Amino acid sequence: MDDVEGYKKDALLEIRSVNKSYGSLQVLTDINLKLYRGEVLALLGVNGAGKTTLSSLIAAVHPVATGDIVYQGSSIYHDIIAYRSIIGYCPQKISDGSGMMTVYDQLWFTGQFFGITGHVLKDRIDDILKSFSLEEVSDRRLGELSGGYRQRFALARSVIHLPHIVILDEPTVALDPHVRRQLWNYIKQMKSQGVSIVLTTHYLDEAEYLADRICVLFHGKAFFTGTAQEWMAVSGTSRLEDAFLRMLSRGDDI
Amino acid sequence: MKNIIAQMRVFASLLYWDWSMLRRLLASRCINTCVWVIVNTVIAGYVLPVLGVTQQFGAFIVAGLCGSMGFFELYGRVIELVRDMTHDKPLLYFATLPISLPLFVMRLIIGNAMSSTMTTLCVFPCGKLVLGSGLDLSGVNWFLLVPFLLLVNILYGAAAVVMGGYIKDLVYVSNVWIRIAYPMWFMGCYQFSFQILNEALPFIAFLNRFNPIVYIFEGVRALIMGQQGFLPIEQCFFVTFVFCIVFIVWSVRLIRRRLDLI
Repeated sequence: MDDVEGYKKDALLEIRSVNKSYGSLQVLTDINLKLYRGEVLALLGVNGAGKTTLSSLIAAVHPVATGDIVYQGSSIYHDIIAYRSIIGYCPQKISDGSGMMTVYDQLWFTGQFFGITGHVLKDRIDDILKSFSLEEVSDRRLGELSGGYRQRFALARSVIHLPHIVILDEPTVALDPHVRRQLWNYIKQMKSQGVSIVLTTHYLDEAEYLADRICVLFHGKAFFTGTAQEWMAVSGTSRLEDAFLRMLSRGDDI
Repeated sequence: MKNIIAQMRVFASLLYWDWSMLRRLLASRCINTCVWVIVNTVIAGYVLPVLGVTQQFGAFIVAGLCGSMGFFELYGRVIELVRDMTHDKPLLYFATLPISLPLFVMRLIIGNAMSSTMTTLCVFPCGKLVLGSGLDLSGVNWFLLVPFLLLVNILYGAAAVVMGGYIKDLVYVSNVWIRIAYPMWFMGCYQFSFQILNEALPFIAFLNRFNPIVYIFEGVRALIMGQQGFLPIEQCFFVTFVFCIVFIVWSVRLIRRRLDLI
């Protein structure tokens, strides 16, 4: 299902037979997945399905138990530092300790982390503030901002160094519907700039709106990988939510 | 080589980040330190001598406070760390930056040490202000004292990471504090010297040989008040250095295991 129509091109990132466990708890089992250049891949599943674990493996935070993650033909573990410099990570929550610093300062530091300095960094920050409509709050402390602004900042921070891959871990969780819509537009905008995006979400409408392909995780296994339309066709439903519920109702038979 | 330079750049930027955060809180932390130092020194220098304690006790306590500021900051540091390592684990964001695990942990340690070193430096003027001629700083070997205090605060910084690495949730922080940290500090020669402890309770003194805080207090006092009556400064330096290395290695291993990092 990986090489669906429209994506017959080289994979930017390949997840090969990845397993992950915590003690005796098997979290991910034999995950095989490809991420193509400029696509949005949504990881779907109920709580505990392994979405966040898989996204953090892609973000090179945690090691795999077995298997490999390959970026442009070579294992990311051969040069993890180089790999980390081409990814952007947007966590569910920003550290409370960062709340003292202004939006501008935080973006400045993030640029520094990735070796961007001087006028280049200044111009980049100006672009980012404009693109994510953060200009009006640039000199405000992060701790003073609303949840929507904070998450918008987190998105902006994840792309300041022009990464090839961005990992968004439930970026719209607990946000108002209109704020979620705003963030969707920013994610679309990121995609239009050629960034490959791994989006972890449990909002099916979000996946349907944003994702080129979805990977449905169930009990730590990749239950389905393909487009949302394909999954609905396979499930014999006309709505993504129905396909999801059908999967859940089959439970352990899967 | 390119990677090492890139990592050092991230490391330096993270420390600069910590410094920028600290700068915003520095005045408030210095005021806290001054209040604590003044209260302790007034009691030790003017109240306790009325009860028969030596006149030098004020200076003795000021020296002890120099070795204690990192300890007092531990509690807040551990809370911050545990908070950032539980639930949504916001600390993990920094683990996605192009930096190796040992440098990632060293940044946590040095970030802690920077803060406590700054507050430690406030102890001297406050102590002098309260005790006046009762605190003689003319014989202090600053070339040894400053590096020793840096080493001490790095050790406290690493201890904060070790404690944070073991504590599973914020509700348990006070348990570790009351059951382990405070006893180590109280028995660690804050209010008496190791020599006095050895005379009074030799077995406790023997056990205290394994308590790093003893070497911190004895070393600081030897450097401020003179060598006589305290453990040799060379020994204090060496043991503090060894504890420092042990705690740093321990921190890296613990954080790797706790957060399951690469």
